Formats: sequence, structure tokens, C-alpha cells
Amino acid sequence: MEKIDLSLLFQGIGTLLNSGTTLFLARTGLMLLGLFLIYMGKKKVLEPLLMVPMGLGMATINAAVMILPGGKQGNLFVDPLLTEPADLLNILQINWLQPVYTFTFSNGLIACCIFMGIGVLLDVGYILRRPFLSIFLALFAELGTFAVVPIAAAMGMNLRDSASIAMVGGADGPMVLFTSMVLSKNLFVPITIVAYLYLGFTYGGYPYLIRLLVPRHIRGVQPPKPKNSIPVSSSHKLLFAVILCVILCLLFPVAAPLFFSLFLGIAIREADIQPVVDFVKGPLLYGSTFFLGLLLGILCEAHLILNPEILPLLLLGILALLLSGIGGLLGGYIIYWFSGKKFNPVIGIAGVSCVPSTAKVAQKAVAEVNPNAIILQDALGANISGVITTAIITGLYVTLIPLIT
Amino acid sequence: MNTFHFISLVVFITFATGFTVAAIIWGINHVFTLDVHRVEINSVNFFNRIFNNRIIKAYKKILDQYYKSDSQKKDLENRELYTYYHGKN
Repeated sequence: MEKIDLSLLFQGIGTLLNSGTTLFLARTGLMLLGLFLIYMGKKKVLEPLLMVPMGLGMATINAAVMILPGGKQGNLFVDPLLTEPADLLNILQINWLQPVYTFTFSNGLIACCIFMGIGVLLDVGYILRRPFLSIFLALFAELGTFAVVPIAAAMGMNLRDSASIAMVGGADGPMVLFTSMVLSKNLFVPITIVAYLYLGFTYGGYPYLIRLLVPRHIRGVQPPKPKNSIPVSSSHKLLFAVILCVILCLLFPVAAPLFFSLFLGIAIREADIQPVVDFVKGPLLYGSTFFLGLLLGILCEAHLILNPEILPLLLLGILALLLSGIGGLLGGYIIYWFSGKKFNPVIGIAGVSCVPSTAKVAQKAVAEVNPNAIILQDALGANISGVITTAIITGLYVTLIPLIT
Repeated sequence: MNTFHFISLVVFITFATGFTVAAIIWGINHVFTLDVHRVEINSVNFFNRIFNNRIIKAYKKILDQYYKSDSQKKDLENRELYTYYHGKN
């Protein structure tokens, strides 16, 4: 009987042992990181909805490397780097997640579906009550989105890539996905992975930033209620959604799919089309988030991650989020001083538009000090405004950069 | 255009657009809030004002009448009557 090569029989182990030290370490490290993400998701330190499929995807894709016809290493999940239509058509019949990636991820459909779901969950009444305050905080919470562009440029990146990675500071996954897809197709996969990985970390990291920058006695401040607060009717909110959607699309047609998706969600909610509301906020939103997490995990393959450009992206991504958090708190402090110390500066961090995580983080940080303080309404107002300001910046980057480069 | 000028331009346009959006939201809120709640709040304030004025006028009227009458003497009589029934302490 002919001798059987075990490394060909068990190809996952075979490719792991025969692919060199760097790749071995990278694959093993990513498998362990995947398991760690699942653990953090289970412990609710990171968002479990995203982290569990992402972690399992990451661990699996680095285990399931095989030798494809032609001797090349690969997998039967997805190939994100295909551009030729003929190759794509072939691979669509082989890789099981390729249709999901090609038809929903790379064209931004999944981002729009998530935005629609977020729209259905949003109560725009909060922003309607205090529009200037909410927008002010959201603008300050874009500090990372602005500041990282020159920093990345100073590190040798071109303006397109700099703007794409700086969008991580907006903490809005679909916007990052959209910007990098339009501006830097070559870095689309690593930037998207970095963005979503860090968005999970806002949940775990921002409470420490709040504790570091806001003293305990200020953290517990209960902001005053707005005077003569009139309850906002649903027709009023619907009108708001329609008018603002049309105006923003007139201003930034490039970001129109995202604006449309967000305001469509709001319109469906306010028009009280209950069966559609239930569908969008249930199966559509959760299904899209699940597949997004899964695809992001699957894309964390060692060959892709070992790209030499990924390390600067990791550093710049975390810097962008950190600066945005600091900017939001700075905006909160400005309002705190101008309001005669009646405003809670922690609300500022909710201007980072990771809906609704940052608003929940702000409320939790305040409740730790003063359980009677309710800031969630103001925080959600800043949160929703954050989506609008991030969309404005996306529109600006996507429109202006191709004109000047 | 260098990166610094580009970012300055983006910051300026973002702030301008952001506050324009806030102004539009405020406008929508202000112009189209002619709903029941606003009318209710205004009418409650209106009637409160009238009602308060009437109370003040009626109170002043009673007070004037009180001063015009021999109030101090009546007070003294009342005090004597009280002392008579309940003693000095």
C-alpha cells in the first residue's frame, strides 16, 4: 500500500505546520483571538450579537485552510479579493459565503439594512427637543474623524486611505464600510475589520475613558429638564424624517443610500406600519448584524491580516476612536461650563454615533455614581445627531477627495 | 490643496452643515408644532393668568373693605372674647 501523506489528509493541520513560522503564529493567534472574542461576548463585555459569530468565524477560517486545485492555499468560505467577473461567477458556485459577501457586503446592502433597522429603533423625539445641543455634542465627538486624516497623511498614507481609516472615529460601521468601499477599495477589507473590531471595544473601553476624564462628583450631575417640553407627535417625527432625508440627499447624493435607509426606518416606525416595523427591527436587523459579524470573522484570515498595511490601520483606528471620545467629553464640558455646571459632560461621549451603545455606556457610567440620574434621553439625542454628522462627513470625504486627488 | 487646508475646509463645512441641520430641525419643530399639546399649554397659561388676576382683584377688594370697616376694634373684641373663653394662656 502506498504511503499516505498525513498533511494532505488533514489539510488544516498540514497547512498550519508547513506554512512557515509567521503564518503559523498568525493563524494560531487569530484562532485564540476568535475564542477570546466569543468569551468576551458571552461575558457581555463586548457586543455578543457581533462578537460570537465574528469570533467563531475568525477561529474557523484560520483552522479550515486547505490546498485548492493548483496548489494554492485557500478555503471554501469566501474570496474577498476577486475582481474578474468570470472568476467571480465560478467562485460563487463553490464558496458558500461568497454570495452573501458579493451581493450584500461589498455593495453596502448589509450596511443599509442595518441602518434601516437602526432607524426603526430610533426615537427622533430626543433630537427634536434639543437640536442645537445634540448637534453641538455630535460635532465635537467627530474629533477623531477630523484629526486622524493629517496624522495618517503624516505617516505616509494617501488622502483616500487616510480619510477611510479616519472614519473609524465616527464609530459608525456602515459609514466606514461605505467610505472605504468608495475611496480605497484596496484597504476595504482590513479597514472594515478594524472598524467593527473596535466598535465592539467602545463598549468595553469608553467607560474607562469616562472615569479617567470626568471626576466622580461631575459624573453624577442630573441635567435639568427642558422648559415647556411638548410631547412630539408621530406625524411631526414623520415630517422631520421626510424633510431631513430630502435635504441631506440634496446636499450629499453620494451618501443618499445610507440617509435613505436610516430615514426610511424612521418613517416606517412613525407611520406605524407594524408588520414592516416588526420585520425590520427583528429578522432584518438581527439577520444583517449576524451575517455582518460572521463575514467579518471569516475575513480575518491570516493571509489578509498579515498585510503590512494593517498595523498602521490598527493604531490609527484606535486613535480615531479615542480622539472622538475625548472630543465628545470636551463638548460636554463646554456645555457644562456654559450651563452653570448643570449639564452632565458624560452625555458628550454619546455623540460618538455607535447607536445605541455609547448612549447606554454614558447612562451606565452616570448611574454608577448617581442611580437617580437619568441622562439617556439627552444621550440618545446626541447619539442620533452623531449619525447625522458622521453621514455629513462621509458625504464630504466621498465627494471632495476624488475632486482634489 | 494640502491636508491641513483640506481638513480645515471639511471641519468648516461640517460645522456649518451641522448647525444648518439643527436650525432646520428647530424650524420643523417650531413651525409644525401647532398640535393639541401646544394649544393646551397656551390655553392653560391664558386661563391661569385670567384666573389669578381675578383672585388678586377679589382679594384686594375684600382687603379694602376690611380696612374701611372698623377692623382693629373688631380684632380687639375678638381677642377679648378669645381670652374670656380660653383664659390668658
